[in-house]
Amino acid sequence: MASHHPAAGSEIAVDSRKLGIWVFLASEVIFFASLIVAYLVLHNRVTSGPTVHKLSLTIPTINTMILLTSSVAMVLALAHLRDGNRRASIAWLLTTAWLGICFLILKGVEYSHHLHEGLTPSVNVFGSAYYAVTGFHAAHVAVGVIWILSVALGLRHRLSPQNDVPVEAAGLYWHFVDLVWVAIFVVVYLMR
Amino acid sequence: MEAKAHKHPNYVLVGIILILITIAEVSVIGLPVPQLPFLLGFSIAKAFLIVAYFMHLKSDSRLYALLFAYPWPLALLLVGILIWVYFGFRA
Repeated sequence: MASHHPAAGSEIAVDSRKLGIWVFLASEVIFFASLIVAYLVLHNRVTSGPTVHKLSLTIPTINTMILLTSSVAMVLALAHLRDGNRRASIAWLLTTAWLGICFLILKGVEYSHHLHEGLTPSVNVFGSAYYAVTGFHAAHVAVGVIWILSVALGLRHRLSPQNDVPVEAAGLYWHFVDLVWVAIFVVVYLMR
Repeated sequence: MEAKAHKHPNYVLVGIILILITIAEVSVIGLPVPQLPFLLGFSIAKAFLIVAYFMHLKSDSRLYALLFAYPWPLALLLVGILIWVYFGFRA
């Protein structure tokens, strides 16, 4: 009997869409490694102006909890879809997107505090490195929110246990963004 | 909609463990202990849980795991070289 799975018939049973996402994520590892090493090298080379000690732990810790919870919501969306419960899957996708928006709002509040206290991207090398690392990560979160919303709202009638790759691909990206935040949280906020 | 019976890991439990590790990470700050080994250990544990359970690398095709693994040595090499070059020139 002929199978309709996209990977059926290939010698290695992989889905080309998932393969593409993994290759993309592999390239993102190098991208964020470059940013983080630049931060590590530059952040304590400040001769004047704000330093790393300006950073508060409160908002980043709450944001860590939010992103970890959103990852649970994302993986539950995939699990429910695979179990045939599309309605619950879409609800979890929307929950994930909402938690991502909460992360971005809190990031905006944190940036607002920093700017008010004089920590701007151009104030010194620490400011540049800090905004580069956290800003690129926040941009990835924003892309993830748009991606998840487009899957939840745009593809909602086409999602099924047989067609779960759109949710899985968005989930892989989202979990990777979470993984990067785990590194940023330790390097930028905890290791001083 | 055709449903298949899937046995999933307990994702909520994994999430709770991740949050508990985060609380432990933050609690270590300010304690009179060497913080770097604790922070590295905690973050590696969190990364493993996310990659293995949420990204399904523990149960998915080995090809994906290989694809995702290959840039990490390059990334570590990049970190090592850049830090060595920077601090080497400053010395």
